[in-house]
Amino acid sequence: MPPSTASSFIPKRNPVNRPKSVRRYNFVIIPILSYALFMASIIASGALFIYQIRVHAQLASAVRNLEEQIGNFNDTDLNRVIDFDQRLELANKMVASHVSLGSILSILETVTAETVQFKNLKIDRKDDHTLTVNAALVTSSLDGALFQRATYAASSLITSTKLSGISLVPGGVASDGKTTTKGSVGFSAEFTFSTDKILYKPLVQEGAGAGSAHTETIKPVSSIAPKPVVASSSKKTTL
Amino acid sequence: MSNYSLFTQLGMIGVAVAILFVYIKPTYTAIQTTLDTTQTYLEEADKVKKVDDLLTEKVSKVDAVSAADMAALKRYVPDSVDDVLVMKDLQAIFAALAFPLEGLTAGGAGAATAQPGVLGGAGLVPHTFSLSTKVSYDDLKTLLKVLEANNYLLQVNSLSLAPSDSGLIGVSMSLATFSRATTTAKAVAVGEEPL
Repeated sequence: MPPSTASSFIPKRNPVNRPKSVRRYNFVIIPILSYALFMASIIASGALFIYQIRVHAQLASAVRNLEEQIGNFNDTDLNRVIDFDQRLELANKMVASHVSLGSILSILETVTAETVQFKNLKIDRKDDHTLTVNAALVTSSLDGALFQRATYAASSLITSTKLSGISLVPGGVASDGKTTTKGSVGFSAEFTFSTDKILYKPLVQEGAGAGSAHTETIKPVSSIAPKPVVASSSKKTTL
Repeated sequence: MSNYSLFTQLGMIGVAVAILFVYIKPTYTAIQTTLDTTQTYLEEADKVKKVDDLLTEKVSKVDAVSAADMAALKRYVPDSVDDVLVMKDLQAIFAALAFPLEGLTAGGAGAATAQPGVLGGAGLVPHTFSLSTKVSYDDLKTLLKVLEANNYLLQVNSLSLAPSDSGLIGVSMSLATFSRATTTAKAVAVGEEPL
């Protein structure tokens, strides 16, 4: 049996009339947030304004510094250095292509047999690295021509040799029946020389002793052509 | 704090947001740009300083070259060539060696690219000369040695040798000397006193 509630002295609340709990929204966060945001924006603006002034000052300083650096740059010095550098490079190129034609003649002297004679000779500079020598030669026999061809071919100083136009003039008794004529063999030769084998070498190196056995000396050029022709100190030459 | 009405609070948030978008954000962007620009200026100033230092170093090297060497360099690579002075030099060489000079002509200055294979294309202007003489073989070698030892380049571009009736060798040669292909530098002509 269910207990009676009417007998209790404790007031009972009717479940139907139970008061609804009022749900309170937490509006405390909004004032804090609004205040914080507002103050933060004000402070950030102030800080940013000051920082901007500082950054602008830094920029002005950097610009001034650059202008000073540019102002310190000396165009005249730059042109002087460029001029010197250009001149030096050109001098190097010129020295690198400065060959001694006397060396060519000496080489040909060395590798040519005594029985072979040059009738004419022409040296032409093909480019900065090659010189060609065309010559008409004459010798007494075909054996001499063969020997000479082998000698030229064996020379390491001559880049290439080409013999052509070989003609034989046989010897015999002259029309008067008394004198005899010698036979001869004529041929053309074309030699090619590489400039690195015949580069001009100063005759006396600077600092070489006066009695040095390894230096070749010639009559001082300055003594034969006083003003225009003197030794170039840029080439470390003393004549 | 709680004294503010909700409307005021919302207004403060709105003002804060407005400040953020109207002032703070653009200013921050501007500051970033200014910082980048400052950095660029600093880098450029640094580069200029480095170049300036390098230039100072090079200038000191150039200044270390003796006056005699500098003069010799300018004589070897002149800015211009006076054909008459070169001819006078050649004549002086022949006179000093006591060799007969049978003919001497100046071919004038060629274009810088006229002879690409013979230093012409290397920023140099060739000035050509032709001469002829009759000498013995030994004298020819002496002549070539003297020409090679000249203080400015006298490059023999071609040399023809042929026997003559007198027993000497008939020599024809084509010479070239060079000047720098430039119009900006102050002229230092062959034969002039160096600067």
